[in-house]
Amino acid sequence: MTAYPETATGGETSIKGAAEGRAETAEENNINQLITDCARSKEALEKLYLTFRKSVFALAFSITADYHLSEDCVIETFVRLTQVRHFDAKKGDGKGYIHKIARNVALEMRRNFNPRKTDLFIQSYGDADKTVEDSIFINQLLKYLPDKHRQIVVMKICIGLTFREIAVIMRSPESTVKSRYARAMDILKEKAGVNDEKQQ
Amino acid sequence: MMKNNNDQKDIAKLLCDRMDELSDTVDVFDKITDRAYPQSMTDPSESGYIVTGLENVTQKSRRHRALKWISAAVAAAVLAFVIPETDILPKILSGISPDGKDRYESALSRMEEAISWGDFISFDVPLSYYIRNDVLITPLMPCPFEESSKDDAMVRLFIRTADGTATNEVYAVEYTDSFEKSKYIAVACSDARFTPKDIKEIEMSDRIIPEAYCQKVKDDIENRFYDDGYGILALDGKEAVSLASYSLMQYVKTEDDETKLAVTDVVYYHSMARFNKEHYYDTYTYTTTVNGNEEITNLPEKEYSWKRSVYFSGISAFPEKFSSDFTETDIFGTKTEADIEYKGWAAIKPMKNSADLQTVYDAPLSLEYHLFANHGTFSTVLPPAEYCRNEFALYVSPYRDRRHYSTTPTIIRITCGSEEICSVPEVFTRSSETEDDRIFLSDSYKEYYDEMVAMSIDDNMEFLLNTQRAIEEIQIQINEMKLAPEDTKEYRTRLASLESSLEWYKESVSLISQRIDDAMQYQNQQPTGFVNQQRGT
Repeated sequence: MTAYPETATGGETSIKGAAEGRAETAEENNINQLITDCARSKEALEKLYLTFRKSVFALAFSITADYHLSEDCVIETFVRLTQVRHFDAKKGDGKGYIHKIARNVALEMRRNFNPRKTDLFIQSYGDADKTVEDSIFINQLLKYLPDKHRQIVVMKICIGLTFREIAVIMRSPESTVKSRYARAMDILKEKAGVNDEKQQ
Repeated sequence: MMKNNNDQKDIAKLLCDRMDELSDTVDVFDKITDRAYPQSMTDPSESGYIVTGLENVTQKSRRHRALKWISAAVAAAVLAFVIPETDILPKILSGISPDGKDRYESALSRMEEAISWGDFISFDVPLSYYIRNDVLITPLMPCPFEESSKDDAMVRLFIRTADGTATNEVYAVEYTDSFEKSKYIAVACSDARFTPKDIKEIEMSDRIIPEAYCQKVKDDIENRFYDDGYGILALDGKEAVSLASYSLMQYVKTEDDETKLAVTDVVYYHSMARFNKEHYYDTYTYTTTVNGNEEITNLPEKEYSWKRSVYFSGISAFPEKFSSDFTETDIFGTKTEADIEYKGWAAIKPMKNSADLQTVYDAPLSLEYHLFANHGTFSTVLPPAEYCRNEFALYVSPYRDRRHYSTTPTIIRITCGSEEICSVPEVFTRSSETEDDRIFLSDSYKEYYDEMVAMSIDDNMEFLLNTQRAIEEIQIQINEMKLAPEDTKEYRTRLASLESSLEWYKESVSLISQRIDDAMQYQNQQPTGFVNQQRGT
């Protein structure tokens, strides 16, 4: 039985923890190895899941704006990860790879999703009020941002990816990502009433 | 500038905190593993299996490759030195005796004479596929030929028809390359033989299909299979994956030279994981006279047997033992005695409205759950041969959506290779049954569904009350906040959040009310006691 070391951030990486900086090379190698192994090892998959479930969810939520749909994205992303056959554990960027899959899955799901609010409402009763409140709050906060800006903000703030990593995932130039992020933050400040305060 | 940076950090922190809290509630690992490692498949590393350095990525052992070379060398040595010293070769050659040749010629001429007149269903099937899946090709007759070393060996079947219905007069030819007499390897004939006079009599008769036609399959599947609590049909504690059935009607010529009408129901499934080879089946045949005025009886198996199967050399081509993947088991006439909580099934008839699908052997029908994206195949079913597909049905548990985690509509998509056969909604409502004539529900499930509708009215009433209470509470909080306004960012954020929630709850009141109205309307439309309704076929 293969024993996998804890990732450098120590088991479950919180979203906040991930934001603290770029992962160490050793951690990247470990993630790459886990991706290679997860097709046959539940243990490897669990490590990946614990490390990335939050960030995958956050990215999915920034795209779908739907709690349950984002949960589905988390499931689909990790299932697809177990079906990966051509990932190069030596050269690949595991972290970016996972988020790239997550983004594609979320976009695919959003594209195919025909909103049926009826069910969403009923289902929402089964969840904690806090979850509903958080969902509403985040959606309220992000609703003024264009789609790509929203994804960049979440990847930067909530997942802690660097501009370069985001640029690779979104297949955009790094400068574009930076300018979109700056623009997004301006919009957020404006909508959160920071500018009003300044005027007063 | 400094303030600007601080503002940015505040927003970022707020977003990060909320997203962290929200994503912390995600707990879907079990669902991932259910799909990633289907059914009984466990972590190979836990069972002690590890990929060793001797195996390449396709998991073919290198040792195996070496063995292949060694065995090839041994075989060459045996051919070169051993066989010439023994009498094996003369014995084989002596098998092609004039008598043997006669047996072959007689079988061949009998077949040629038979197919020279009248109507036949004729199709080709790979020999290896026929051997493994005989239940799906000729349900009451196993493949008459033994396994061949030739990968491209094919079998062409000729099934005589009378008045458009199959009979038990069947011929089979094993061949390679192309269907030419010079390429025939073996020929097989069934016992039964219809004459032009028999066919004429059948055409003149008033065929009456037994009343019980197809109903026994439904009743026995209902009595035998049940939901395992996880949305999968099970039998005797084992999952019955890919449960399917079909019916074949045929005229049967008995040993007593009588013609009877027989309807054979075939139920088949495989157990546990989808790659598992444990296939099971059971058949039940009703027999009556051509006019349907005789009591239903089961004909002995000998009425559906092959009379002769001979190689070109005259040697018998019957296999020493049948190598079907399907094992006969008891389904018909049996009942699961245990107390079953979730009884019943949903049947999908995928071929009902679609154009005839050419049988693509070894390309089974795949059943996939589609929830926005493809969630993977959960069942693979080999369809029966084309001439038996009228009543072909696939069975799934209608209870899966009861525990399904998603709120979004799931579709069961049935494909064959890259071709989509049909898509049906996974949530089996009684209204969908009437809208989609490919879906059939068992009586037990119909009763369950109606009970659920009744319960949902009560539950939704409770939801409605709770929602109205929540609206009142939020409204009070908003009023209080507005009475004591604060000029802070927190105040504004909190107020906006409460107002959004209020809007959300108000909208849900109308939706829940609509749901209650719909359920009540459904109840009013349905007569009580569905068991008494006419059963769908």
